[in-house]
Amino acid sequence: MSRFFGTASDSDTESDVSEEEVQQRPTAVPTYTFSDDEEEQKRIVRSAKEKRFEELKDIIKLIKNYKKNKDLSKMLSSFEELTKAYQKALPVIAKEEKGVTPRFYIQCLVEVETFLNELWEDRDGRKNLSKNNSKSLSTLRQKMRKYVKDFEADVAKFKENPDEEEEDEEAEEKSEAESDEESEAEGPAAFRKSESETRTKPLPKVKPIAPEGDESDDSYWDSDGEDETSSSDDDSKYANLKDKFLKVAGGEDDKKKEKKDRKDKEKAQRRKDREEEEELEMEGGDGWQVQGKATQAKPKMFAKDADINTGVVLKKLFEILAARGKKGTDRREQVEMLHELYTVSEANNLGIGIAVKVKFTIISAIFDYNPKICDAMKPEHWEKLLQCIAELLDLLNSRTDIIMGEHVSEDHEKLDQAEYDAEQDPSRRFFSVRGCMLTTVERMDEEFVKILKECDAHSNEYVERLKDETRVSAIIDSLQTYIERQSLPAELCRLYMRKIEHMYYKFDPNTIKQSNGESNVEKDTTLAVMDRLCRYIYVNDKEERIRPRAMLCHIYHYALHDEWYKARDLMLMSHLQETVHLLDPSTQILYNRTMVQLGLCAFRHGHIKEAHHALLDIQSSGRAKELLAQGLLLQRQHERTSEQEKIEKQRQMPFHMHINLELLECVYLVSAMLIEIPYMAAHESDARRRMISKSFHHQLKVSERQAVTGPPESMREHVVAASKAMRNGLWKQAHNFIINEKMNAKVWDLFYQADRVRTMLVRKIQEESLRTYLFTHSSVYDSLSMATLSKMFDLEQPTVHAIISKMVMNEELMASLDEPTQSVVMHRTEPSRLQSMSLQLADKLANLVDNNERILKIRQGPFGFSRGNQNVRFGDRPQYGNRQGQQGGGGNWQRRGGDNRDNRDNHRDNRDNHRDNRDRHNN
Amino acid sequence: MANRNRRANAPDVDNTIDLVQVDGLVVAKIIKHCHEEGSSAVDVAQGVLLGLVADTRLEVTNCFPFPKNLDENFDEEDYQMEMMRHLRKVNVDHLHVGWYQSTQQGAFLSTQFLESQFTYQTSIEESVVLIYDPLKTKRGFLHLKAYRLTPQAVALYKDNDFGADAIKTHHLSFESLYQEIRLVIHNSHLVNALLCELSEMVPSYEGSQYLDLGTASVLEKHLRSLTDNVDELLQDTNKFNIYQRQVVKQQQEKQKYVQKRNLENTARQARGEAPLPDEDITKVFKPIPVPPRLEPMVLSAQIAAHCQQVSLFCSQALGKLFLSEALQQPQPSQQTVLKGSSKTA
Repeated sequence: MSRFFGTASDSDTESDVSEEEVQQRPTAVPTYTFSDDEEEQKRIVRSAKEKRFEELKDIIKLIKNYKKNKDLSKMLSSFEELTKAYQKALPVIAKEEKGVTPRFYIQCLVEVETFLNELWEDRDGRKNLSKNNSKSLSTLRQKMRKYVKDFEADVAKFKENPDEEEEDEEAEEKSEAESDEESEAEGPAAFRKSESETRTKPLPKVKPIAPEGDESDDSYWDSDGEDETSSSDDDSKYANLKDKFLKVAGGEDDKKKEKKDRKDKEKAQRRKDREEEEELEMEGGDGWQVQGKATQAKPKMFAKDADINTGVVLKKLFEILAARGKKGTDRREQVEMLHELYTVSEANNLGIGIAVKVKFTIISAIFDYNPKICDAMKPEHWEKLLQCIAELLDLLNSRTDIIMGEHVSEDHEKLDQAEYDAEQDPSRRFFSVRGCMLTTVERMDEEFVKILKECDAHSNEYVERLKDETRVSAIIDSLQTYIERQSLPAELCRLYMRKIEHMYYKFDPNTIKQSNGESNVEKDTTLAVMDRLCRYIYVNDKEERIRPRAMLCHIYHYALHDEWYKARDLMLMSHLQETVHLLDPSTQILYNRTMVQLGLCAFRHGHIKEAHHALLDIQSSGRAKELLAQGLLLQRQHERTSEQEKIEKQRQMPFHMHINLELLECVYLVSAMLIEIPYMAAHESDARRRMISKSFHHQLKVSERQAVTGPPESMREHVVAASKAMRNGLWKQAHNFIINEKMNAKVWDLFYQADRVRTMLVRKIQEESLRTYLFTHSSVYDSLSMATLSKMFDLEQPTVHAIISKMVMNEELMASLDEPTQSVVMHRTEPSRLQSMSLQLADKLANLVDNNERILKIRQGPFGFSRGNQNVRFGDRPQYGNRQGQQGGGGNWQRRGGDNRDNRDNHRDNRDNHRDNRDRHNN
Repeated sequence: MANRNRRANAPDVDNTIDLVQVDGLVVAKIIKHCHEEGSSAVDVAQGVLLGLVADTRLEVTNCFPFPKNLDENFDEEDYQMEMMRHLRKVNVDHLHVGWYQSTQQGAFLSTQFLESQFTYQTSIEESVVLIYDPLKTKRGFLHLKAYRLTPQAVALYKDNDFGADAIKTHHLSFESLYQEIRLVIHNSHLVNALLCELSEMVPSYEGSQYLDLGTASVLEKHLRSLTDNVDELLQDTNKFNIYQRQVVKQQQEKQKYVQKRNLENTARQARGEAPLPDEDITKVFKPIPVPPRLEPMVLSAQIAAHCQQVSLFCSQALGKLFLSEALQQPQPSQQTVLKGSSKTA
């Protein structure tokens, strides 16, 4: 911060009259213009030197600060600035100082160099530096080395007697002060001139001093200054009230008097400041003070009694907007200023057009406030935003003659109430404002999701924020009325999609009541609303982007409300399964969610197989959490880059939309159990048995591996225990494992109408246990009474009859029903377990024999023996050489053949098979 | 040649043992140990046998188990020596004469098993291994067998070459890999008297487990391990097959190479040039490594053992079934069931 600003701000505390402070700077400009015509030549030369040196010193001061903070990256940039400034200063130095580099400059260089070297030597310290800083350190060090080479002689001289420097500087400063005083003493004219110089200087100097944060003041400042100079007789704009007041009321004389007063005061201040300069130099906080002052000044944007009209407000608005997005703009301030502007325009009754315009700008300014796209808004801003949007929508909905949209170009905006009133033609009596409300609301919705994700899902904060859901929905609804009035199908589709996304995951108990005929039919259920909105999108969406999402939401909603057949049919009709991998990730996530919901719905309806299929893809990978975007999984193999993680985090679902994963897994495992256990029983001895559900098998295996299995604790253990019981046909035990208090609390109670699900489940367990029992134990029986079976499994006799008939039909059970005695007669055509194992062994042995024969064949050469007849094989053998080896091999076989005489019969049965194999081998 | 000579002597030494006489105490101790530790499918209980050789008879009079949980710094040999020293102090036979091991369904044969028996037999000439099967004992048959490696197998191991040719020169086949030695359980008179007394005290129905008819499950288990073994053997034969084919191919290439060479040489001679220098043909064609034949041999032996056991079991079970059928005849209702099971047997 320049010395002068520093002084000014410091004086702030001394002189209590803040208004006076405020007016100081602006008035400086006119003074400058006054003194402009005198002694131009001399002034410029002096100021050139001073200006350059000021500049250099400022930068040096900054560098000192950075040195203290060890902010190397900033130091690097300042250093670059410094060298540039020095380059500029060179001609002046050559002229004034006869080419001798100023001492303070050399000192700075030496200091920085030593500092850098120290830092470089300190290896541990260097390691602790941030990446950015360490990078800057190395570049800075290199630059420094190169640069210092040019000053080698000076540096050496400086190092010889570094003490001199302080005196020198002091002397310099003194002389400077003296010169100042001298010049002041020279006379009023001269004084005024020098004063004016000092005043004018601060303006360009603000920039390098505070590269961040106060550019807005700066630019704002500038513009004010311009306004001041250019429009002194245009009453509309003044940066400060008193100035304006003075100008109008007092005229030139007052101004001069005022100036004199101030001059005296300033003189005193400056003396004081000189003394305090050392401290001030180190403080580096001067910039902030200025900023604070600026904020004080800002909200007062119009002169007190200025004639505020639409044009003026608009001008101001654009002025504020011009600062938008610039690096140093204080965003909070912008919002405040816009608010101020809004109140001003309201107070002056500038009409609804301006109100809408300003409101809209406020909203976008609030959006702007948060610079990072992935971070959520602060709650207070969010509140403000909601309020603003709601108000704006109310405004828009209150009148029918406001057109707001992207299609309105900047130039065709009609905001002026006067113009509106003046317009005679009623067809042209409207306001038009540029801006897209839909985009704003969409953005707001995204922000809402972000805010929710930011909160801890289990805290009160989340609940508090979630309460805003109703407000968000209300805003969307009111936007709907607004857009429906405008009736643009594309926009309406987008809006409906928003609405759908707020609706599809919410369960509406009325729907089910209505379908049961319990509640009055008049009321519109969410299902009906959903249906209407989705249909509109199906018809009107041209982009093909919203439609799949709408469809998925529709299916989800159906599934959620137990409309299984509708949901399934829509899913099948949509053919989304084939194309979903081409869609964007968030739609894929929605697809996964929908499939899962579909699976749950199928389960509730007792369609176990469908439930299993729907959940298989999600559950089998063990990444359900990731696939449903309900949390990040730890990946051991490859770490995510932070970039990836960010993207993945953005995709996450907010907590209130999560689907309970345990419920999901339980439903999946139970359906897998109901399918897999009978299947396993049916194909127990089948070597080519496939696994239906890998994760279910995994669970079974895990429990088998345990030496001692205690009573089940977790949901998985319960299911596994139930599966084991079911395998043995103990349906009651299985039932108790699946449905008990623990499982109810964990899983089943999460269903709407849990009791219905439980009865369905018990029924399924009974049926499947019966099937399992029949598969496992049918070989023991000659006949079975169906009455006994129905008693055993607590099923009605017709059901038992149906199940057994189905099994017989599917050739799963080799039996027939004997109607008169109500019993099942087994046919006993299935091989027993021992028999099938023997068959397998025989197969393998045949292969072994084949292999052995091939080994022999090579030894014998290509002669071979008749293939079909096994018995001949060994008879032929002695004809060929190398008897010993053959005896080994042949003996082996003979011996084994003898031992397996029991298997001979089976073997012979398999011989055809075997021969085919052999032919294949030979070929 | 040295090997030959030793082998010529070997039978004399080997014949020294044709009977293993095991004390009742040892049997009881082994059974106890194996039931405690070796009952699960994975664990194998092992221990040391102590005793003395008397003529051709090996008397096993005591034993102790190997500790199960070995620490890293636990020295097994130290432990054994310590144990033997202690036993010596209480005047028990302290000579190491072999080891015992538990097994599951007779599936004890493996290369490791043979190797350890080989080390035993080379360091202690008369050592035997006792194999005890807890599962079979549960079904009512005490299954305790004594085995030794045959002299041929020992010689083969000494050569440490398990190629097909080595096995041939040693006249070894899977049948002659190891031999079973007759085992007698010997009790002192006092113990015999006690047993007599006890047998009077034991109620008669306690013996009913010997009539267990669970034929299918035993056979199934045997079949399962048989299938596994056959599978492995199949893979081994496959490997050997591939080896053979490679050898044949190489042989042909070799022949071609030699022929070409000869032709060239005769051409050179005709032109009056010096013949090409003789190259070592093994350098051109590197011999293909012979797959070791020990593994298939062990597998064959194991399969053979299984088959033996199955046939033994079947004959026993058939006898039982006929017996029980005869017993059941007055009650015709259960006949069908029996018929069913007899079919499976």
